[in-house]
This record gives sequence, structure tokens and C-alpha cells, in this order.
Amino acid sequence: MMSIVLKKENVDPRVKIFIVMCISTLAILINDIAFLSYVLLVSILFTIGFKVDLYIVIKKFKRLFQMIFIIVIIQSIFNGEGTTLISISKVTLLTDIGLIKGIEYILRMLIIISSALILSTSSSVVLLQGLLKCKIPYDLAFMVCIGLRFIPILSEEIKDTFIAIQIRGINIKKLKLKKKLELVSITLMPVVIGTIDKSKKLSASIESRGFRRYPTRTSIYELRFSLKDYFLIWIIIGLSGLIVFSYFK
Amino acid sequence: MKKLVNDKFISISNLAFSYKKNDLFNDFNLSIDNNMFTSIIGENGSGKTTLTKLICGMITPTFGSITIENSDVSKLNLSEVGKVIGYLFQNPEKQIFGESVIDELSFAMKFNGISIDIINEKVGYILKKFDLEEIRNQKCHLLSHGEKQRVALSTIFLKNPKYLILDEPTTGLDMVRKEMLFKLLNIIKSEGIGILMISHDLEFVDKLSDRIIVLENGKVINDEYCS
Repeated sequence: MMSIVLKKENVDPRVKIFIVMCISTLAILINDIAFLSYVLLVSILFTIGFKVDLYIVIKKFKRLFQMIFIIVIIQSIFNGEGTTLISISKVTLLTDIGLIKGIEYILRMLIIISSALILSTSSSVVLLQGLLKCKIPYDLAFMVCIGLRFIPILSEEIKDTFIAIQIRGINIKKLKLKKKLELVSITLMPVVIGTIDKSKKLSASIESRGFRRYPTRTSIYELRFSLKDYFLIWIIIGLSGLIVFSYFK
Repeated sequence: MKKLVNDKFISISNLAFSYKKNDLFNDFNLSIDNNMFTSIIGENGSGKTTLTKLICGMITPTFGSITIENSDVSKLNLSEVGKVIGYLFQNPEKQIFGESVIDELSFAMKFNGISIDIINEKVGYILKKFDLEEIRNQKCHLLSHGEKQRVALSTIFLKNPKYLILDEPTTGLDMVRKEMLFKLLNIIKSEGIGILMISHDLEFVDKLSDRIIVLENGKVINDEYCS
């Protein structure tokens, strides 16, 4: 069968998967602000290298960043270990260890976000091929790709829901916290139900098109490693090795 | 709020808007009167829904200004626009949040701190007006498309809007439901409420409209007042 070598993708998706694997493993393995910062720097450099517009990302995820920041403050406040930095009478509000753990949490979250951004630079079809080449079972790889494809749809649906609420004359910003939480719990329900409904329809649709009808599946796309891909793999191995060696030295 | 001098209900001037790098509207101008049934027709992708979303401030133009009752939309938040304009989405499921029809009708009023007595009074009136009494306790997700649309339209009326924007209200309706919608819109029209409707249903448009605007690639190619 004739195969098509993908020319649109600059970098093989397997390389991106490998980079993300290295970066996320380092993020879990390391418990040090300085080394986590190095990992973050490496991941940001790769993100820029894969031509992700960081300005748009920051603008899009502004609320998420605010939420992460609030979680960090709460986590720092309720961590009792270490020397007290801020306290009200006998109640400890912030300790040095709490602060360190909070910063580490921020760095890990940023590393995870930049890893996701690296993967998002590949189309779901190409990513699926990459996962298959990595010997990931087809069902599992397909699920991952469908999941990635649905993230923007879900976020669009949530955005539309909040627009629909406001256009009905409800000023969300002016609501009290209790009412806000009530509103979110009510409005998220249709979004969740809609998502389940969509997944059911999608499942019926792919089954009707013969999904898993035969044990093997052919594809018109063929992935091939280029020199650039090998180069990038050696770079990430080198950088990861350097960080691990320095950390455990 | 800064008031601009203009006697039209909706006024769009020098509007520019693009999706990513594709220009949809460029130097677009349009004025829409109140107390008039205006319809916008055009092919898919001609910018009909985008235009209504821009009017309501759901999306922001790259250039130009839109005013509603002489108030600059960019200076209003969505809830302020929502108090003047009632917007019916193409898919009514998008704007239904209540569990039952009654819950749905009282949804916005509850969050706006309106007393139970007033809510009951208003809901009772709307149930009668929109012929929803039989299904008042039914679960919203079990309603048919036509019923969902009627519920969505009725919730808009609870806040006494001055103007209505309907995005393809006849989509998915059979002849009987379409006839019911036709009668309902005629009543609304006779009450002096202005309506801006997007539709592909030319017969429906022809029967109701006082003015028909044809859009093509973000440009008005025909604008006619009907006798």
C-alpha cells in the first residue's frame, strides 16, 4: 500500500512524546526549587522551539494561573512544618517549608502545562500514529487522542454556558460567593451531561464506521525519524542526564 | 455611561472583525430600528451569527463601535446587555439550566434576588402566555426540541426585554411547531417589541419581516423594507 510521509510536521510526534516523558519524570523526581526551575526552563525552551505562542497561552490560561496561585497560598498556610514566617497570635499562617512546597507546586504545574503545550503542537492524527509506533495499544492511543481533541470543545462549551447565563441578566461578578458556587454547580451539570451525551454519540459513530472491526489497522500516514529528530532526542537525554546527575550528586 | 448621539436602537459603525487571520467584517455599517421585525439571511459563514454575537458583546470587534439604545456595547457587561436584549441561541439547550420548566423560568430571577411572590406571579403569567402550563413540572432534558425552544423563549420574556435576537429559531421544528412559533412571534411583534431574526427559512422570513437584510461574506448585499 502506498504510504505518505508527513511533511507538515516539523518534528516526529514520538520525539515530542519522549521530551514530555523526560520533562514530566524530572518534575516528579526532583524536590528542589532550583532544579525544578531548570526543568521548567528546559520545557519552556522546547515550547518556544515548537513555536507555541506563549503570550496567547498566558492570556488564555490567566484564570487557571490565578487558581494555581490561590491553591499555593492555601497549601502554604495549612502546612504546619518548619519555621514560622507569619502568624496571628498562636496560629501559624505561613512557614518556610510551606512556602517552599507552594513554590515547588507552582513550578510543577507550569512544567505540566508546558508539556501539554508541546504535545498540542501535533495534530491528533499524527499523535495517534506516534503513540502506535511507541507500541501503545490502539484503543488506548485512540482514547488519548480523542481526549485531547475534546479539551478545546469542552472549554468552549463552558465559555458558552457562562455567556448564556450572563445574557439572561445575571451579573456573576456581583453575586455573593455562596450564590456563585450554587450557580457553578447548577451550570456545570448541563456541561457534564452534554459531554457524556457527546461521548455516547461519538462512540456510536465510530462503532458504525467499523472501529476495531479488524485486528490490525492500516494508515496512509507513515512516520520517519529525521536527523533533526535524533538530534532533539540526544539533546533532551543530555539535558535530563545533566539535571539528574547534578541533583543526585 | 457615555451616551452617544443616535436615534437608532442598534447602530453599528465601521465594524471590523476577523476570525484568526480571516477578515469577516471590514468597515461594516448597519442601523436597526426598534419596533420592527428585521431578518438577516445569507449563506453559512456569511457572518450572521457572528454579527448578533458582536451586537450583544459576546465577542469583541477588532475595530469600530456598536451601540444599543445609544450606549456603547464595549462599555456594558453581558448582564447589562441581557437586561435590554433577549437572545435566543440556535440550540436552546445552551440556555436551559433548570431541572424542571418551573425551575428554569425562575432561574435568573432567583439569582437576581427577586422575592418569591414576584417570581411566582411572573412565572404564572409566562406559563399562560407561552402555553406551558401542561409541562410546567416536566424535566427540561425530557422536552422535545420545540418545547425546549418555547421554554427558552419564555425565559427571555421574564425580564421584559426591549428587543429580541433570535438565532435560527425554526431549525429542527416541524410544520406544526413552526406555525406555533409564527403565531407567538406575531403576538410579540404586535406588543411593539423589536426582533432581529437570523434564518434560512425564507418562507418564514417573508411572512414575518418588515425588513430583510442579505449578508454575503460579511457584507450587506441587499437591504429591503417590506410592504
